[in-house]
Amino acid sequence: MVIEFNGVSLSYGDRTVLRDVNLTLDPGSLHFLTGRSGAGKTTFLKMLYLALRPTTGEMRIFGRDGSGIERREAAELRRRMGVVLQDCDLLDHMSVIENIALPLRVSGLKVADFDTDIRELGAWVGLSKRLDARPPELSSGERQRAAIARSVVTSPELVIADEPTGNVDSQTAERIMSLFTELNRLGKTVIIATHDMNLMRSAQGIDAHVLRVENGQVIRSGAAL
Amino acid sequence: MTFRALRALFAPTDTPIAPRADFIGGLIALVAAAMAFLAVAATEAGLAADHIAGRWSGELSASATVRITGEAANLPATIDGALGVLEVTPGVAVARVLSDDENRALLAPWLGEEADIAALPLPVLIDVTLSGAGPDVEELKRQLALSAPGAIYDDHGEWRAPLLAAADALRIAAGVGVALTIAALAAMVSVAAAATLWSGAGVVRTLHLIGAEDRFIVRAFERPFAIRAALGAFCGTLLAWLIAARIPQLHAVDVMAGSASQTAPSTWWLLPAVPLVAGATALLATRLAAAFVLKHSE
Repeated sequence: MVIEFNGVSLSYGDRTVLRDVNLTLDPGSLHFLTGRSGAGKTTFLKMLYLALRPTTGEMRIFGRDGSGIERREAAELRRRMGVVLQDCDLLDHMSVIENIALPLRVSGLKVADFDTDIRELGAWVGLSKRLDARPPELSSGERQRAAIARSVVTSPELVIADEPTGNVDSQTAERIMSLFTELNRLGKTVIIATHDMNLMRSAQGIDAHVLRVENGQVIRSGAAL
Repeated sequence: MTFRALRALFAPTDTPIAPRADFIGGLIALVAAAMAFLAVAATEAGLAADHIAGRWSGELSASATVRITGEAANLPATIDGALGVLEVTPGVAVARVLSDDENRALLAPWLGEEADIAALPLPVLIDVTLSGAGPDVEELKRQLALSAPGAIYDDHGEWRAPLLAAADALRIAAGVGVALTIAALAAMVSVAAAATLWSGAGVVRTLHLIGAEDRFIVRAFERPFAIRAALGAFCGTLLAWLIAARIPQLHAVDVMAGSASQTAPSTWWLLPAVPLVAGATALLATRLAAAFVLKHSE
């Protein structure tokens, strides 16, 4: 299992955001995480990428206990994931290509050895002519695609995206979605938090599942889309 | 630190991960320069005091004086008696009576060159040059009492003790001064590093998100601080060193002793040492501050 939650709850003080979540996600699966604003989608994703730890229950990520994990181990597990957030989190003082290559540097790899791969990745997300630009010079969609390229440059097993199409038009959203489905076809486990119904519809015909966050519960829909 | 680490520190090939912080970096360089200047000034002063005290103490301990007072009629016999005892005492190399000219020279700073010292009731002084560990002072005093009543042996201990105490105090003051300047530099760099990390929270968040460990983030931020602290400290050190080299008063006592620069302590080693210490201090301070900030950033 890539992810395994057993009776996981998370509270902020007296307020319980997620309660008694039981869930397993198989390798190579694609999931949409839905729910109204404030339902706890982002909180759930933050637990997945270990920015938050459960208040109670057991959470296993890549088979490792993530509940009381050390900071160093958490960083090690994060290197096996790619995370794309709505605001992209690109470093403005670096070029697009440097941003894409950043996880390689973090992993201690020599970026020069991967130059061709990085450029191919840039072309894959449609940014081959914008690789030397700085993030502030890019459109929202371009920034989002750069963030996707950065998230997969180390070929992670799990890709997590939080509202990746929140700031882009429908055409760009479709293009971004196609990148995620392609990643899934390559065997990556993909989790996308969204309340964009069109985005989910565009995944019809793909073996995608819906996880609905409601009243602190994460409910898996019975059937694939 | 390996050559590779040094090269990565001073000549990184990739774009720095931490955003440029020129203003804070400039402040760090300025503070490092000021702190280095003060540290070098304190060290120079401490070394000069130590050197002078050491020389004086050495000279005083290598010689002694026998002072003879009494009735003028008895003086020749007492002098002969004293010289006789000193000649056969182990640990005494030379013993000689100071001439009138030498006595006049000794009193010149107070009475002037032309003073008629013959009219003054001055004691006769025998200058004793010691050898090896010196004489058995108690035995020598006993022999002088027998052969030259009125002769007083002075081993200069009364002069040496306060001199050594003053030198010790100066050494301690210099050491405390250097320690305080290092602490002040560390504090300043810590505050600057913490401020930079807090203001660069977005960068830290991104780095965490892509799996960077704390030590990777710390390294990304510590490099510019360490380099600026080292460069600033080098400028401050150079300035202080040049000024110290041009102040003759620092070695005034040596000059008076007629042996100025041959024996003055060499302080060239401060030029590489102080910037290195400043850079290392900045590295350590950044690491500690960053560890604190990162621990509280999630």
